[in-house]
Amino acid sequence: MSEPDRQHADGGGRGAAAARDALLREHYDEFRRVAGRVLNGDAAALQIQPTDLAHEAVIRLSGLDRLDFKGRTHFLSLSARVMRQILIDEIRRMRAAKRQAPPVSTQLPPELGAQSIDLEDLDRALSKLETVAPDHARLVEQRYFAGLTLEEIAEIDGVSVRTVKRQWRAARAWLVAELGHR
Amino acid sequence: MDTSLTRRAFAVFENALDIEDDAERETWLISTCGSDTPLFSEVKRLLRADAAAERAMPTGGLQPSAGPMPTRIGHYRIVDLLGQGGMGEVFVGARDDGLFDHVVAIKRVRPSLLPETSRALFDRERRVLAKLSHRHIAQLYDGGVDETGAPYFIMELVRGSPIDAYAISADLSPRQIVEKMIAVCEAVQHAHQNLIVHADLKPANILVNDAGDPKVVDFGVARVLRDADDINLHPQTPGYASPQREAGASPTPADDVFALGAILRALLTGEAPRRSKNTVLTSQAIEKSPAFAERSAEWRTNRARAVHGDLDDIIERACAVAPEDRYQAAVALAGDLRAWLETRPIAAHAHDRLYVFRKFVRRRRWRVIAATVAGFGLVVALMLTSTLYVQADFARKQAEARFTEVRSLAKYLLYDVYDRLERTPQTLAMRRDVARVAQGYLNQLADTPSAPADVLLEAADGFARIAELQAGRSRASLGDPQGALENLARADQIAARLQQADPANSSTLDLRARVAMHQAAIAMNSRQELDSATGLLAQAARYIAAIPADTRMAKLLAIQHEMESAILGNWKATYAESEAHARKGIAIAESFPPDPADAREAQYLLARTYDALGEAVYYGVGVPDSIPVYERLVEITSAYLASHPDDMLGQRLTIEARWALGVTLLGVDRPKDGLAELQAAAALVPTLLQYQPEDTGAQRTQRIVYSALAQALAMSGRFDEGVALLREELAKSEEQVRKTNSRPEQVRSYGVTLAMLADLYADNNLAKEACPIYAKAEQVWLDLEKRGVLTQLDRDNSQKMIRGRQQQLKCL
Repeated sequence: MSEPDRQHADGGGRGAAAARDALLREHYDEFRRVAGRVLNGDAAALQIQPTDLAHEAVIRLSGLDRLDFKGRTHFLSLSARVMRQILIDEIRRMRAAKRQAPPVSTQLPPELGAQSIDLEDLDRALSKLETVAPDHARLVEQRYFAGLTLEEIAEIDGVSVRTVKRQWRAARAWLVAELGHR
Repeated sequence: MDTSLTRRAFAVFENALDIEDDAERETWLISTCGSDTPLFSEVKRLLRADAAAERAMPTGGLQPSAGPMPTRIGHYRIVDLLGQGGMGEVFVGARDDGLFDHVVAIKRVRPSLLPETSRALFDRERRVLAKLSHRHIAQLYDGGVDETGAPYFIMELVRGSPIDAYAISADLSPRQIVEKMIAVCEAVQHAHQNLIVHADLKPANILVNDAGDPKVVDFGVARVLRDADDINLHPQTPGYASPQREAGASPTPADDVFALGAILRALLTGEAPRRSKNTVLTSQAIEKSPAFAERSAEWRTNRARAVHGDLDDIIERACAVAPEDRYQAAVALAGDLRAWLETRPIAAHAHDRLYVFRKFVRRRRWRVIAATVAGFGLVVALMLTSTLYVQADFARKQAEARFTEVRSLAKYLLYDVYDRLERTPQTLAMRRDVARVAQGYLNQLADTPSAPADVLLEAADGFARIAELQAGRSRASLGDPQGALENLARADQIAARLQQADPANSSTLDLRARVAMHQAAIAMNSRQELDSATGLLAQAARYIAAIPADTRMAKLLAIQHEMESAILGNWKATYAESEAHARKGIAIAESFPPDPADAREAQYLLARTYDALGEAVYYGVGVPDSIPVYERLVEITSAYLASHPDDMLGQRLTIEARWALGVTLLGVDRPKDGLAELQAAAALVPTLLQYQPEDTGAQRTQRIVYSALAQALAMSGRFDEGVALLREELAKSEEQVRKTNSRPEQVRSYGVTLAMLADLYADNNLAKEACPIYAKAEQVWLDLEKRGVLTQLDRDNSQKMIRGRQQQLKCL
């Protein structure tokens, strides 16, 4: 399974959307399984960190040992969207399947208020941001669902750290305001 | 939401970030937004949120968290913040449960340094570290993960300062520095003997307490984090890292030795080491060190002289570029340092420097060497043992980790992934890859000499599973009976060994029975080796008899055994026996309470047994008597298909059942009913093929169904349609045979299709068309004979039949 991953890792920038689609096609099931495994616990309430899923997916799909650091960040970056979609899909599927599905929340980082928030709410907020500023929304995904640092994102996307930082602050401020409204 | 407003607000906001001064920014904002009040207030709203977020966490994200201090971590109340570093924060914690008063240091690591998935490793490692107890090692008591997901270590609280700061403030002499470093070396040696490498030794990690005792802190912490994450995230502090570590190699005891040498040098010179190799001798560096710039020239010369010679040599050796040139163990470095201490002239003589120098230089040299030589045998033995042990243990640990990984990976591939792929259309090539990869993992597993019995059983089970994927009949197989036989042999070999150790183990017996039955199935169905199949089934019966009869496992095996015996009876034409076996199998299966865990398997066995029964009755009793059996079979399989529409097994079984009923109906001259069944069967074929276009089993099924359908069409007065259908099938089959390395069963299938087309012509009195096709078919069997793969069954049936028909038609 490592070969296609390397290919993704090599092609950034322009081919990123195509690579992401390919990633989704190839690994959708694996991602889903990872997400499903986490969600299938019998807890009264689930709290998960999407980053963990992304990391697990990386380990499952490519083997950390076989992917160099750069390949891994690329892979994580590409899988951010996939992880988010699948996570939400799985949560909805679980809701549909279980009559008393536990709420699924996540602990936001301190900068976003360190609060515990329903993952679907976060997803809704992100979708809203997406319609306004897709780049900013993607940044949040990369940071939050793939656990990448701003420096790593800058390198992957081939833009300056300064740009990423400015965008991140805008996205973050918007999210803080948006989530604070609830 | 006004999207364009938000978009514009983002742009303005991002530019506003460049203006640091609040008032200036406000002015800029007012002039930029002008009369656009909504934009102005939106940007203000974002700026307020940004300020709040910045307070909580600086944008960089890489700086240590400046978040509020936690009130508790684990069982400890947080009393104070001791310090912050790149790795996280260190707090002072107090246990105040009234039982005992205990003050500790709690090191909380930034969560991003330890991915969630590595927590098991973290837990295991910190338990190992907690066992490390030494006077000069800060004891690790406990650890865990706090509610924010950050891992933490609870350690002995050392009140003191880092050794480099201590050496300056306490104005340590070289002698005192060496004394402290000997203690540190002993601590490091103790850890090495416990298979723990520090991996990040530096003055900041050696604290000297109020009593003057050095304590090494963070033992193994670097290693835990390194193993947990990418090595590049946690480089050792430059200057203390060996060239190997700098190059990214995993830490070894030799790297700790390097660091000890570098620390000694740093303490003696008062200067942090440079990243590049130190080319200047320690004693020379002392003279020029800015740290001692305020000292008198005499002081500096004295210090340099004390270090000059042996200590220079010792440091050079500890910090050698090549690990093999270094002291092989920390204890060896300590030994030389102690020898240096012991050969030092006493302070009283120090006034006569020249005298002391001349008198002692040779003796000292000699003593250093003697100490080294005297202890040489022991030291070498010790360091070799400990180094080898450490290396061996690393290898073992790695192998173990690898082993667990391999084990779970093989299982995951063979079950989860494969089953999912099987239900996904057009994945045969992928499935073949998965099976191949899993095979590799299993080979590794089975070859692990120290593998425990349960793992070996798992590996054997895995081989049996691959065999099933390669040539099983309950699934779209990879069509590789040869590979399957090899894996079955491998599985049985392991299982036989396990049985020797534990003869009554049901799991082993179950596996051996399944293996023998699968071997029997391949023997009779693919190779027509009926005697061999008979022997294998007898063997399987013995294994099954040794399993407690009232278990589900035993019953499932019994059904399968009756089924295989019935099929074998049909091959052997002992139909009465075959019928008895089949009826017995059906009786067990139908009294079997359903369980979703094995429903698929039970359903498959029941259908196959009915199929065998039908054949036994067809040949043994009479064609009309077999019709009710086949009708029941169609009933069972259709019901399964209806409840499992996505399971290709249901498709396959239903097709075969309807085919069997259809041709039987043709045989009793009910062509209309037969045609209906065969059309129903043919209607299911495209779905099956669409799922698995490369599946040879599905292709064969298609040809068999279409041939029968053609016959039925002809019998129903639609001869031309029938011929067209068969010709189409023939063309496909021919194409396969033309490929190089066509397998015997493909060739056989081609011959059968030819014969069927010829039969269709012959049955309709078209000898002129039939004869050349029979000739072609005969050539196929001759080719098989030339390849040495003509079976007795081919001779007895196909060849004989073709020759008979040729004579009948007077073709020759």
